[in-house]
Amino acid sequence: MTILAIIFMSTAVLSVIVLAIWCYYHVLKKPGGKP
Amino acid sequence: MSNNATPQAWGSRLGIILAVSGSAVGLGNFLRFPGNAAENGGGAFLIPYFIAFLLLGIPIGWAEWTMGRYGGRKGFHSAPAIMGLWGRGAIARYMGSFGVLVPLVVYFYYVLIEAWCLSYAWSYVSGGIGIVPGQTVTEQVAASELYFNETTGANFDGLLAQGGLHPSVIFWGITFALNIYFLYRGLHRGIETFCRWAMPAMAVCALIVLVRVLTLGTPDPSLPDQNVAAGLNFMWNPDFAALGNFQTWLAATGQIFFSLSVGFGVVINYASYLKKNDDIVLSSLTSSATNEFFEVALGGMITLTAAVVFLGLVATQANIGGTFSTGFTALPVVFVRMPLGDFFGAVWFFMLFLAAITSSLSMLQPTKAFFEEALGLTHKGATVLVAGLCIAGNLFVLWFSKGLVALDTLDFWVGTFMIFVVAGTQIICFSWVFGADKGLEEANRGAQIRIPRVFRFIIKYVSPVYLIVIFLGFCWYNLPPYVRSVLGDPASGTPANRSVIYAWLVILGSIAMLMVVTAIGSRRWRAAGMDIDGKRPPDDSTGPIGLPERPK
Repeated sequence: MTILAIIFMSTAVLSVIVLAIWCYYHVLKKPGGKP
Repeated sequence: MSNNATPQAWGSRLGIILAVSGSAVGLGNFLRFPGNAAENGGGAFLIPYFIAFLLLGIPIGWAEWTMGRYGGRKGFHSAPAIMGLWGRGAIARYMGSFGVLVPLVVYFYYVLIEAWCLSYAWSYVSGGIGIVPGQTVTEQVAASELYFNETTGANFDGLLAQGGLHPSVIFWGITFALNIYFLYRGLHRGIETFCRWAMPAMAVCALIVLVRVLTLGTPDPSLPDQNVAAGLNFMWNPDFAALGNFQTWLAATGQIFFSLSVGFGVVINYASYLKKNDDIVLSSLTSSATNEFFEVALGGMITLTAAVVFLGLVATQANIGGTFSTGFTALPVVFVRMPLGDFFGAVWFFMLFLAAITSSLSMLQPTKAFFEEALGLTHKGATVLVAGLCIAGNLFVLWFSKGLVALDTLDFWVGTFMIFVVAGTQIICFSWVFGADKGLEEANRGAQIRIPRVFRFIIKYVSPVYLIVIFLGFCWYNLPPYVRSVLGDPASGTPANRSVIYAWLVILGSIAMLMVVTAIGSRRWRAAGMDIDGKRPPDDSTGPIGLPERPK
């Protein structure tokens, strides 16, 4: 497996995981969703 | 405006997020995405993919959620009525009927694919699909194709009449009954409850298969090139030259577009059951993020890795041409070569079944809501009408199964082409007729996070232009063969395909029916004094029930 493949794979996978965790953290923190 | 004794409403914020995510996550996440990426630059494919996510997927998603919630405040829950508000008139309202056409007609064939998944899962539970373990890859692929053709009736028309009650018809019956049952139970007790259970179950199934695939190592020491690292490399190694090819950008944008289900007519309906101050900005982003997690982190790691490990690079490349060949031809061969393959095959196809049913449920609700408010039907009456229409559509696709031509025709013209039309209409109504500033102000009402200001420019200029360019490119590359299949090709003496003609009659009949219902609805809404052209601000005293109040 090339270094570039590892970089692209880990960047893409980590990006979507971090985005999902960030979103759910904030959704669950404020279930009503109002400011 | 419906005759419901108990108005429809979501039970919780997480519920609508999971329902929208369930609608978006489907077979394309696990089967179409990896094949698309591998054929279009590998890791480099992710560059145009994420650009399209940022410039098209997220903004149009926000626009759809906003349009839906705003429509709900005026008492509307269907795409024609809501788009009439945002487009301020009859043209947008009738264009909005395509937002009902898409989920309805896609359901005509999608539930059959869902039934195939259930049928495959059951076959693995009860002993496999008949592929002999000791054969060569070529022989096993041929056996897999044979099984697929028998399951789908792709060899000839008249699947319903093959040897009494065909197993696929039984699985369709089970799947269809499940769909109607959850639809009848309503938004909260049916769709939301099911998605709250099915989405985590789908993630668990996918993680089980992912762990198995990533721990395969080099299963056959005599074939050292067929290992997990080679599989991941095949999927992710970037080919930057592909970025210079317009087709790569087209494929990446198309993947984002269809994967997120923007322009599908579902979100606009789902969001209409929210209250005026319920957050939509973070909810929309969370649904998109869920879809991306399933697509990139799970779909991108499992399918092709397993295929390369067991089939080798050459056979994998030969069998990733489409969703069906990857999922229903190549992967069964993978499972027969994998230790405990029947177990993992059952888990995999059950996961695909869950992915499909959470999507198909979302296709029924917009049509049901439309019949309720346009024809004044009760919840029960609208459910029966939707079920009747879908049975007719399903039987059509089941019967005209040869070469899956009827299915493919509906998928191309309604499930692909028409989605561009609906999304284009939505973004133009949002940004240019209603106004981007007013639209974003409406979106930010009650938002837990605010939409960054840069998206005003993106949603007004970049998204519509991007969408038009991609749509034109899509038409340029894809329309000619489909037009020839409708009209026939005098140059080569090929006549028009009979199944294509019938499929077109189904499409035209559905369009005519929805236009008539839109006309009836317009008359009813106007007679009831409703603001169908969006000329007055919403009167929130008559709005929907929406989410429960957050505890103070």
